Amino acid sequence: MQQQNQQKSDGDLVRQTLGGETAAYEELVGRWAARIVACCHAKVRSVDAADDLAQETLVRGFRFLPALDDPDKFGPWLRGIAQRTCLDWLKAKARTQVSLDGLLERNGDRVLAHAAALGEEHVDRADETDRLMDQVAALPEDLREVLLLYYYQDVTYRELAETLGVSSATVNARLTKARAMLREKLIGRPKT
Amino acid sequence: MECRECAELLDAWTDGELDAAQRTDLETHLTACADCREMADRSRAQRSELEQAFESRRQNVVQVQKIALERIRAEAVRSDEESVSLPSQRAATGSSGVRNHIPSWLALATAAAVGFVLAVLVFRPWKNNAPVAEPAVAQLAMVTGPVEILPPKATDWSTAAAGASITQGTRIRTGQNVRCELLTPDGSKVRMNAETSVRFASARDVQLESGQVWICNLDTCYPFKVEADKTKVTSDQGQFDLVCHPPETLLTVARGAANLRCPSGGEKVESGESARVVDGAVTERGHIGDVVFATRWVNEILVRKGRDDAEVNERVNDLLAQIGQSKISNLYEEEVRSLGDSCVLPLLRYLQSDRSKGQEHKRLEAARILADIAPPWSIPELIELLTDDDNRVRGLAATGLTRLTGYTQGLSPEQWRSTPWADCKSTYQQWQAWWTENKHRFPGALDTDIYARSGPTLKKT
Repeated sequence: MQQQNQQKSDGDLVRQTLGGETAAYEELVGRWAARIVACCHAKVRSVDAADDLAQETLVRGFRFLPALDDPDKFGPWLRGIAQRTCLDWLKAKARTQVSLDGLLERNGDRVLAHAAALGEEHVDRADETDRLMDQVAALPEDLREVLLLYYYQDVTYRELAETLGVSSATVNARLTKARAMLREKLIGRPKT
Repeated sequence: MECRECAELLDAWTDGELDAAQRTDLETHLTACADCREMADRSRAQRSELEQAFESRRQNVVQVQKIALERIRAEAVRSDEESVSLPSQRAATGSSGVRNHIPSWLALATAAAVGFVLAVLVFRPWKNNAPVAEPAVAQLAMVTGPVEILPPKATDWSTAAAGASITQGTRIRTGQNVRCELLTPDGSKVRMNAETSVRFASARDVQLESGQVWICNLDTCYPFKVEADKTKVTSDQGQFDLVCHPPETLLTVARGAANLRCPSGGEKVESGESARVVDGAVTERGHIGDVVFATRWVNEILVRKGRDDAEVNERVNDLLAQIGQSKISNLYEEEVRSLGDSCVLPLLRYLQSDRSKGQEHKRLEAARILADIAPPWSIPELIELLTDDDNRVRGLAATGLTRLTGYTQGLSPEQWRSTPWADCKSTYQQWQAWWTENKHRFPGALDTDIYARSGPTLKKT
């Protein structure tokens, strides 16, 4: 492989964006979209809401980029936005299914109102993926998050460990436990 | 290695995360321990199932990106028009904006300076350098590893993720062992092999700088053009493979036809044919009997397609057609297996089809592959294969079911092969009952109502 290139760091791309190059932020979106969708999915346990909330997070990241103190900490900062956006949505969903006015930014109203209106949207769907996702949603949050982060994108245990701030051994243990719990729910009686 | 340690490492082994020493220890243990082998099969089956389940979610991520980028671009354009709210230059420049420090006793200089500053603030000359969003000529739909792009105005290569838009004039390159697929607006596909470099002159005009591409052109109204060294290939509708390592270029046409032009002249290359160009002259024309085998590098991309992808179905059928027809049949079987989970549905359909009747050898090959790799979602179809006319196919179906479920319902695969149907029928019915009771434990299983089929019409063997 040609090695002449220098892959830009997240910090470099943030600085370029702040310098007026929107295309640099598009690169950041490409790098982080899968992880943000996985984080939102882990938080709200609804695939449709996760997509909308992730989209909103990416847009808010662009809008509030000047507020980022350390450009090299873009990833954790964006995850923080994702978590707050998801918590806002969960609180709003708990209070009302109808109106989210006043809780959301103007450009996010339509997106998040749609997400809230979905409610328990996957109950009656025959989609085979939804049945497995139901079981993933039932996992404890720490196991659910690592499983979703792993399967939403091609990552190694080491990359996951860096994202989560844990060791690779912890990632292995959580993935193993998550899969074992899923298998217990899938497989019936023990072999006779 | 003990079984307990093996159990703790099995998932990591399936994920390819063990170091060489651990992998060797674990695989040595597996050769000696049937229980752990069974667990390894379940681990692999589960990984395959989860990857399948998340395939549609990954595609949704592409959509999330697309919509987010549309909104971001709209905001950026709005900000340019309103001259407010773009991310400020504070972080880039370290300054808090334009500063004016004017000695109070220089009235004229002050006025001139203020006038200059006002002109700058009004006209904002740096805004003219802000990039305007270019329309996309393709989208990076799928990658198997890091793919780099160099847009026309960029100076450095950058890594692009799946979903990235490719603008006119962008160069793309893949590294060692990395392949990717790009989609053009009309749905045509451009696949790049490892260590390949291309430039998208437009949505239907690609320059192959070096390496190998596979083109699937869907648009019948406008030809797709690929230029490689001194060779130009155009195709109205079809599929072709082009390899270029200057000064040599090799064109292989899989479907339809392609027109090849080079300094020495032009030629039409039909399906199943190849043409080699060296230094601008056609030096060789040939017939490729096994186009599918010759272009098997695309398999790594095909395995990431959905379970019921039409192209995968077609490819498996083409490979099956070659099994038993040549001295390298075992290689075709390996190619089918390399498609992994993606080949299962085409193989099941083949076994169930009328066209497979009389093709005993191929049917056994298909059943053998299914016995080894069929995933949990195919269990109801494997149960139906227990009613096959061929007792060997019945035995292989039972092998697959035992591997997936851990059960035999009282009849081993060997007994399925040697026992007359009359004595197997009750066990088949037990499998049906077992499935009715347990199917909720297998999310993703084919939605097959096995009782809706007409009863088995068997010539018992």
